[in-house]
Formats: sequence, C-alpha cells, structure tokens
Amino acid sequence: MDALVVKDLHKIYGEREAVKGVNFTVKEGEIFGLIGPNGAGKTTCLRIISTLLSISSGEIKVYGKDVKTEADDVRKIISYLPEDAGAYKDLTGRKYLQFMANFFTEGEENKAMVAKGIEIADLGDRIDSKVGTYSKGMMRRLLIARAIMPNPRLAILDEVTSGLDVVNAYEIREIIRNIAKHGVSILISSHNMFEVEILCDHVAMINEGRVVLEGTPKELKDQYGVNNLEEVFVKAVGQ
Amino acid sequence: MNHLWNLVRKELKELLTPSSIASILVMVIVFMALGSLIGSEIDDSTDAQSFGYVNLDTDVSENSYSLNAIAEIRQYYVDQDLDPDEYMFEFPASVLDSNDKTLNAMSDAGIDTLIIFSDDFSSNIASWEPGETTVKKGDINVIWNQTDTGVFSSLSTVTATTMVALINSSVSETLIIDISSSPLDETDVAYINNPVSLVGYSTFLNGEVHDNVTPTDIYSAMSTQTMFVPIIIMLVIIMIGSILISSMGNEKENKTLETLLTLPVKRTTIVSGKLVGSAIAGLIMGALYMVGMYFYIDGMSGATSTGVTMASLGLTLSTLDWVIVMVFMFLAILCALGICMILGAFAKNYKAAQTYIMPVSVLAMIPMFVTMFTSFDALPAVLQAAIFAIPFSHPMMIMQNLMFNNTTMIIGGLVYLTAFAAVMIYITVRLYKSDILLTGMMKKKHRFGTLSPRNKSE
Repeated sequence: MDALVVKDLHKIYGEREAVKGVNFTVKEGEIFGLIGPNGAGKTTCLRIISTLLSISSGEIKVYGKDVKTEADDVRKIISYLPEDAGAYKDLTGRKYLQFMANFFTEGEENKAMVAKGIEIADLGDRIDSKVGTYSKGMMRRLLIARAIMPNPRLAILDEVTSGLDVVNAYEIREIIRNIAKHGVSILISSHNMFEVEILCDHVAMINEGRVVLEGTPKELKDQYGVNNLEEVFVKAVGQ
Repeated sequence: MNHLWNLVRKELKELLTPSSIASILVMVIVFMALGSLIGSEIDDSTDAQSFGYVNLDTDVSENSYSLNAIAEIRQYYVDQDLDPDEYMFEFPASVLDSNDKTLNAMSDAGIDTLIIFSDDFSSNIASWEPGETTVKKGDINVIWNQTDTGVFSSLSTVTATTMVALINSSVSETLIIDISSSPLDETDVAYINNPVSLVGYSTFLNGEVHDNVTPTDIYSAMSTQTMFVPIIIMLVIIMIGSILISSMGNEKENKTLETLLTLPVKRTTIVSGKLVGSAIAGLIMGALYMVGMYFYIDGMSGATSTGVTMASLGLTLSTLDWVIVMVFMFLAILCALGICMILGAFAKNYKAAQTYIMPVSVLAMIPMFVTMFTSFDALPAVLQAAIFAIPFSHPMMIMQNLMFNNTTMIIGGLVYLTAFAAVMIYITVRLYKSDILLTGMMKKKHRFGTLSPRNKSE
C-alpha cells in the first residue's frame, strides 16, 4: 500500500497560488525527499498533508485515508515536525514527552512510549533539564523523539536539520535512517540537496509550486549526467 | 549622521506599525469620549442645582421668616440669570404623609433634595429676644433621594447645605435689622448668626429611608466599592487577556501550536483546554483580589467618620450574591479570553500578539471610567446601549445591581454575557479549524470559500 498519494494539489492564498498541481507518491517504508529552494511550496505541501491547512483543490490520501474528509483518522497515523519548532520551555524534556504521550496512550503503554521517546532523544541526564536550557541540537533530538515515539505510519519532517552543526545533523540523519528501518514511511523537506541525496530513497524537486522532477537520486543524476542533485536541480530549473 | 538616521528609521518602522498607530488612535478617541462624558458630569455638578421645598410654617404674613427666606433664594437664582421656577419646586404638605408619597413626588419632579420648613419656623425665631438664654431656632428638615453612586452623587448634600445657608443668612439679616438698636451680648450674636437649625435629615436609598444619613455619607461608605471594584476587574481582564494572547503568540512563534494541531485531538478540545485553563487562572486571580477587597471593604466600612456603613445602609451581599458576582466574573473572563483568542489567531508572533491586547484593554477601561464617575442609569440611552454591549461592564456593575435589587440588569447581563461568551467560543473554534490560525491573514473571497473548516470530519 502507498503511504502517501498526492494528486493535483493546489493551494491558493487570496490571489496567490502557492501550490500549482503537485503530484507525488510515497511508498511504505520509504524515505521521500521533497526538495527545492525557499518559498518553493514545500512547507505548504507538508502543512496540507498534516491537516494544518485546507486543500484548495486536489486530493491527498495517507494510507488510504482522505486528508480532507478523514482528517481525524489521518492525524492518528501521522506525525509532523515543523521547521524550527520549539517545545514548552518551562517543561523538562521528560515532562514534555510525557505531555505528548498522554494524547496517545494510557497506563503501561504510556510509560513505554515515554521510555521510547527518552531513548530516541538520547539526552542523558539533560532529559530532566528544562527545555528552555537546551541547545538547538538537543531541542531537535527531543522533537524528533516526540514525533517518532507514538509509532506513526508516516513521519513528516520539515527542514529537519536546518541550522544544525555537522555532528548534530549527522546524528539526526542517523536517527531518521534508523526509524525508516523499522517500517516508518518518512516524508522530509529540505533545501539541502546533499542531505537529501544521501538520505532519501526517492525525491521530488519542487519549484514555484510545481514538481519539476521526480525519481531516485541516482536516476536523476544519470538523467542529467551530473554528479549531485544540486546540479540536477539547477539544470532542471534552467530548462 | 546617516548611520543614526538609518537606525532611527529602522526603529520607527518597527515601532510605528499600522496596528500600533491604530491602537493609539483608538485610545485617543476613547479618552476624548470619556473626557466629554466626565466633562458633562462636571458641568452638571457646577450648574445651579434644583430642589423642592415644603413650607409647613404657620406664619404666612409678610413678616414670615420662611417666606422671606424663600424669596431670598428666588433672588439668588435671579441674580444668576436663572428662572427660579425651573429650579425651585414647592410641594404641598400632603407629600409628607408617607415615605412613598414623598419619594414619588421627588422622583416625578426630578429632584433629589427636599427642604422642609417646620410649622413653628417663624414663631420660634420671632419669640427670640436679645438677652434670652433659652432660645428656639427655625427648624429645617432635609430629605434626599439618592439614585446614583458615582463621584458626583454627593452633590445633593451640597445643594441642601447651600440652601440652608441661604435661609440662615436671610433670617439673620432680618434679625440684625430688627434689633440693630438693642445692646447685644455674645449669646445674642451667636443666635443672630445661626437662627436656623437643620434639625433632621434623611435619605431615600433604594426606596428605603435612612435617617440622619446624607448622600455624602452614602458615597463615602460606597466609594471603596465604586472606585476599586471596576479597577480590579479591569486589571484582571487585561492581565489574563495579556497572558493568553502572549501565550498564543509564543505558541505560534515556537510552532508548538502547529504540533498540537496535528495531534489526534479535536480542535474544540484544544480551544476548550486553552479557554478553561486560562479562565480558571483568571477566576483565581479575580477571587484573590475579591477576597482582599472583601476584607478591605469590611475594614473601611467600620472606619467612616460618620459611622455610616454599607451594612447599616442595608447594602450587603449574601453568599448567593457573591456566587453571582463570581459567575459574572467568570463569564466576563471567558468573553475576554474569547476576544483574545480571536485576536491572537491573527497574530503572527509574540510581538504582534502583545499589540493585539489593546482593544481588550480599551473595552475594559471604558466601563471602568463610566462606573467610577457616573452610573448606568444616569447615562443617555445611546451610551447605556454601548456600555451594556461591552461585556466587561456587567461584572463592574453587578455588585451595585445586586445591592439595589436591579433585577432587570442582573438577568439581562447574565443572558448577554452567556450569549457573548458562546459566540466568542464558536468563532474561536471556527478560526481554529481555518487556515487563518497559521497564515494569520483573512483570505480574500474566492471559489473555495472563506473560513471554511479544513476537514469535514471535525
């Protein structure tokens, strides 16, 4: 079964059309990269898939559930991590995970979910420090743990390593790979072509609200006879 | 200098945004309106005051001290280019048959001060002769009808004092002329200076008569409540509104709101959680203030120089009344939070959210000033409608409405506050189901509609 099917998606803000007929499919267990420059429409697509914004026209199905008509069901199987997201600064990391876990489970399951979150975050003793004292890298680890601990079938991660140093970005990518190995489908957006190239099984290049290219990183590089996705993108947009 | 100008321009652009300028303009307009309202109250207070009188004096001859005093007062109005018939109303003795008759007569004539000359007014004064040690004075009684508890409500006391002074001076002058050739001792001079005595006074309040109580005494006893309760309510509303609207700005800035909205939780639950949590916090704040106020009022009421307390005036609140006060507070806080959540939905970040508290502050300040300086009943119909429409007016007026058994205002206020809070919550839930919460802007009308719920399943 396909994890996500986006068909002819349009999004209009007043007079401006931010998304102009986007189509792509994410297969189950796949890491799918939505790449493109800032303002291309990536975040808007992700927010619509996450049920945060309405669909102007088109259709989106997450594991067969319609985002427009079955939003409540969709929210039970997805997990969304916004770009530059934060957490409640007065809570400790542990209490934040507990707060979030309370929306999904109770009793022993709840304890197990929090334990899983703490394990993914891997913050050591700092899990009991207030979130307000966390570095950007620690915050990202905590938020990824929050997003993954409820065992979503589709994780939607927006610019997940944006602003992180090399080591933190590397560690976050490792976490994502590890999650995918456990069968979670992942949709990530990024304007970092290098990251997408080494992380994703499949990519869609989006520019000015339209998907301009789609395929595996290798297919796209071969198609344009270049060494990296950055060059693919420049050539694709240039045409 | 160019660098300085560059920085100054940047600061001005950041500080003088359309929303901040609009907020300031609204404040200017509000203060202009309040200035005009308070100004008219002050004008009313400085204008010559009208009063009524009942002359029971049996002496109706040309030497009657009461008639001469009344003529003197008429001249007092004429000297001010005023028609005495528009300010002085004579009532027959029959209006004193019962309290109801007195109150009705005063209400019908639109006066709040009634001066009564005793039947032996002239004969007492006429019986005085220089050298007498036991003297009888011209007795006067005053009755007030207090319908207002604002700052200027004690004005009728001044009216009566002024009139009694005029009567005193009139009689005094006559006496001086009459006995100018006689040798006088200190007692005589004292009598001539004060031949009239205000022997009794009482005030109708809430339909009941209170003997030896003036409107000034009542205002003093109630001033703590009329001045401070509206201030406390305004503070609570602004404080809790500010906390909520800032928290919304923070949630948007940190994107914790986005995370919440993608959880398997209904939007109505998220809205209710925010509203109820904030409302309880607001109610706790309000309750703490109220408890403090209760003891403060209690302490103050025993400390008035006249000995007149709210309890002695029958102006006390029962346990049920306090429950009603808290219900009004809770509903008003819900209304404030509803408005704040609607405004907060349009704020893109913490900074923008903070400027959005201004409309709520203005709405809380208007009824505060109005209840401090005047009363709802004293306002013209248009202003009454405006004050009634502001939800925060009702908790500010509820204590007085309860004390004065103003059932219409209590029930009307309760129904209005409940309806207003329900509408605010409905709009908030609709906003939480729309794009506006994230985009922070109202969509222009297009074929996909406006403010439509994102998802049918919600």
